[in-house]
Amino acid sequence: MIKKIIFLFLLFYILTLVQTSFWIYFSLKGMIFNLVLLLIVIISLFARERWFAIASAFIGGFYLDVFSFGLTRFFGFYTLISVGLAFLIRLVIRKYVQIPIVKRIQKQKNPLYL
Amino acid sequence: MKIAPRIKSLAAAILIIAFFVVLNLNGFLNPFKNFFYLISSPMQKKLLGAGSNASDFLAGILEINTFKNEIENLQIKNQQLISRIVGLEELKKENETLRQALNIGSEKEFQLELAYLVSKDASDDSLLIDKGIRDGIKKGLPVITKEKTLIGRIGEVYEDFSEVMLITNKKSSFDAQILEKDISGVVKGKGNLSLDLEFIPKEKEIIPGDVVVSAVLGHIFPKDLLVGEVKEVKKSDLEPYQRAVINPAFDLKGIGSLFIITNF
Repeated sequence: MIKKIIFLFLLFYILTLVQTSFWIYFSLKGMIFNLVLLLIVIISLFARERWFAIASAFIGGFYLDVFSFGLTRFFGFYTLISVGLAFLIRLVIRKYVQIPIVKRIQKQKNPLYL
Repeated sequence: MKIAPRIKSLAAAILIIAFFVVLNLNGFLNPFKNFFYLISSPMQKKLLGAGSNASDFLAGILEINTFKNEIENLQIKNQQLISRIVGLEELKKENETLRQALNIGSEKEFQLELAYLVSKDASDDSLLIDKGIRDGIKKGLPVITKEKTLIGRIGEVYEDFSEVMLITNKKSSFDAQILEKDISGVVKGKGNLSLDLEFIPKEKEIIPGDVVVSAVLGHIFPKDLLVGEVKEVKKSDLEPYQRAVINPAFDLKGIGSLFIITNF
């Protein structure tokens, strides 16, 4: 578990750096696609265990808070939104949606727990 | 005694929220962020360079036909500008002579502080630059490019870094005027690198291509800094004023280095 959390910290750190520096030149009509949020959504959708999805959302949101300065001055905004989003996705997928591919990926074993 | 998982989760959530509230209320946040920026800035600067090269390469492949037309247009525009510069040089000399004759001091030059771009906010029109409190940077100082194009103004200042609120930021608004025309308005940021010039009286005539510069009114920015070019004029019978969509003069691809005006 600790190894996986360290891995998530590193993965989201690198992704946030790419998002805030490399990726800014690839905007579409001034809008920049948020890679960190995309990864949070993907992990929330496909992670087998709930704690992994929540931890990903927390760490991703935390880095977004650290490297964001404009939208809100409240540190923790992105963290809370991401964790809320992960909870919501897990809840909706578990209770109301049956997507065969999601179930199949969740059942498969892989090192990322994806 | 076993604690129910729901109570555990609730307690964890409350603890996390409390942690963020405490972090926001105390003065720990700025040193905390400054630390992260300090350890990340060398890598971010390298990534910025790589991103710029990669996007130039892609643009070269995808927009080759557009480039051809653009080069032709720019060559024509260049010729027009050269002839205008000759005229302006004459006027400058005349102006200096008159200033000397009337005993007025020469025009004050800006005191500038060079800074380099570190990163851009993922979801907002704000930048991070590598100059902060240590370099004498204060909130509100104007930021320009080396071509005197207006970029924005300093927002939050950290120990070694500062945030720049771009003129396209939704929170940004300042007075501006159209060059060589007696037309003033308010430039408002619309987010996603777009700008509008608002509150222009309906009877004033503006056309696409008109150049917008900053005005001294409001004392937010110095006079005559290039803001952009009018792209489209929008008039509506329902509104008392007309509005112009502005093409910002700055381009994120070209702003590796910036200048902060420190004596404004």
